[in-house]
Amino acid sequence: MIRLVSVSRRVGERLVLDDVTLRASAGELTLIEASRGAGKTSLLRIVAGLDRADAGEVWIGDRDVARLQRASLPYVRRNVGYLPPDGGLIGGETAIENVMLAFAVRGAQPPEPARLFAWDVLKRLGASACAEWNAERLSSGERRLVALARALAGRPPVLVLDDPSAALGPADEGTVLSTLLDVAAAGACVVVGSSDAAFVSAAVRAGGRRIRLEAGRVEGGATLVAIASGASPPARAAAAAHGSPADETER
Amino acid sequence: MTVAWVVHRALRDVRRHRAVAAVLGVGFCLAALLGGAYRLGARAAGEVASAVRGGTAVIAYLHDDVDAARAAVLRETLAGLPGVGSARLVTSEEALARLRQHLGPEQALLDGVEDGFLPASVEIALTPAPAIAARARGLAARLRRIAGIVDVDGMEDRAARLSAWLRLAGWLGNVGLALAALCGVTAVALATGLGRERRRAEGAVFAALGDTRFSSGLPASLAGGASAALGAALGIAVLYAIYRALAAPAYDALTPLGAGGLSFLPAGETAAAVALALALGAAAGMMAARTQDPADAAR
Repeated sequence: MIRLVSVSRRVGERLVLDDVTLRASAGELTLIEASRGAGKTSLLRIVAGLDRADAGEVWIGDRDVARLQRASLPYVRRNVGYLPPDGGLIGGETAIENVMLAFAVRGAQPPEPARLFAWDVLKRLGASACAEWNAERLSSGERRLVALARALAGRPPVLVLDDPSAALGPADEGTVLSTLLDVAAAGACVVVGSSDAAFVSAAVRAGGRRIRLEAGRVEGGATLVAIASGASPPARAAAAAHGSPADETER
Repeated sequence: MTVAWVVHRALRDVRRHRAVAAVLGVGFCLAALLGGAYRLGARAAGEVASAVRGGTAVIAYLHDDVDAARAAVLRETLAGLPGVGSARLVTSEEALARLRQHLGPEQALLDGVEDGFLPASVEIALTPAPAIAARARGLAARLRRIAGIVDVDGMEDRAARLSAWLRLAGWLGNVGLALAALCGVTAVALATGLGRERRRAEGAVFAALGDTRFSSGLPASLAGGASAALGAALGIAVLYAIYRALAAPAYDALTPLGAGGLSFLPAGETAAAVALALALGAAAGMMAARTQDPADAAR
């Protein structure tokens, strides 16, 4: 689904991505574990079609995004649910209105049905209580959940999430992880960048695949290209690892 | 983005950027009010000028030896000239009677004056036209060369005074028009600049979601256009209220010159003004929401 071949990116004089080659398949949760400043956000933005690589190929499905013209990039982005590191919510709008933006851009649903879909996504992430609150009044954890709900809204085939567990408590982390595993199990290609070692470990225990990024380079290099595909393990495995309330109900 | 979403987002845009909507609304309200007042004033001035100039613009005084038959022929000839609306023969007796009436209580001054004291004349009314003063001068020059006409009053002084007043009114009108344009331009400039950073941040969110630059600007464009058009419509409504309350009665009282009543601006003009406001407001909204593509912005 996603394939990066020898991707490099330079910001000013600094080489933030150096010959990165990796692949993420549909139906899989891929975790890119990286410390701060390792190039995680740069990598994810390139995958989401928000930045251009200076060199290399960036394949999403059967299209090399790196070679697309600028005018075509928005259509690529519509198929990617992206969670930016800062959340990127619009202040002055309610949480649910922010989630509805995904439907607005994709034009899949008229406004009123889209509100119901947005509500469902927020409820799934345990954030429905703040649905009608102004985004500016949300806590950082709530903002994170709302931004994640917006990335999930409309069920894009590709999810690119930058630190989805940031500012979340353990219970919310469990909910997020189980949701991501469910989404992957439903056939989406889920790529998560995280500097949260505990979250990554829990995700790997639940069946996610880990890639380490250090100083702009993928650790292990080409070996990581060989990826075992297959369905993700059930969500309860992830939930069990985190001991989330969702898991309790399933048991 | 579908039409339903564009309308939905435009309503949100108005709520979130109230200052922009207010600036566009007020700016185009003032622009329409001032511009409309200019147009209305220009129409009134035009009608007054036509009424004044369309009256007796040129008087041709006939020689004493021109008899009634010859005078009638002259009148008919003058009435047939291009640009002449009507030509009326005033006999010597009628001229004296008019003078007596004009003098009122002092008409005794004319006691003993014989009937042929004042010359007969032909009063010529020109058809209203923009260059009527020049035409009156030209006609007067031609009349002076016709046998049987002893003198011509082209009323040049009166026409010149009227022209001066109209020039002043036109200058004042142009100032009003310039102010109207200034209001519109200021509204567009302020609307484009107000909350630009916030709008750019919002644009970045839409771009990340996959919206095109044009599509992400549409709601702001619709909101801007609607605010400006509503403002212009309000300005025209206020102008109409002023016209009904003050302008029309004042005009009727000040112009006992046979001019027709002053009508309000034609529907086509008002519709064009609202359409212009809509287009400018929409352009302002689009410019305000204009953002750089993230892939370019990061470079």
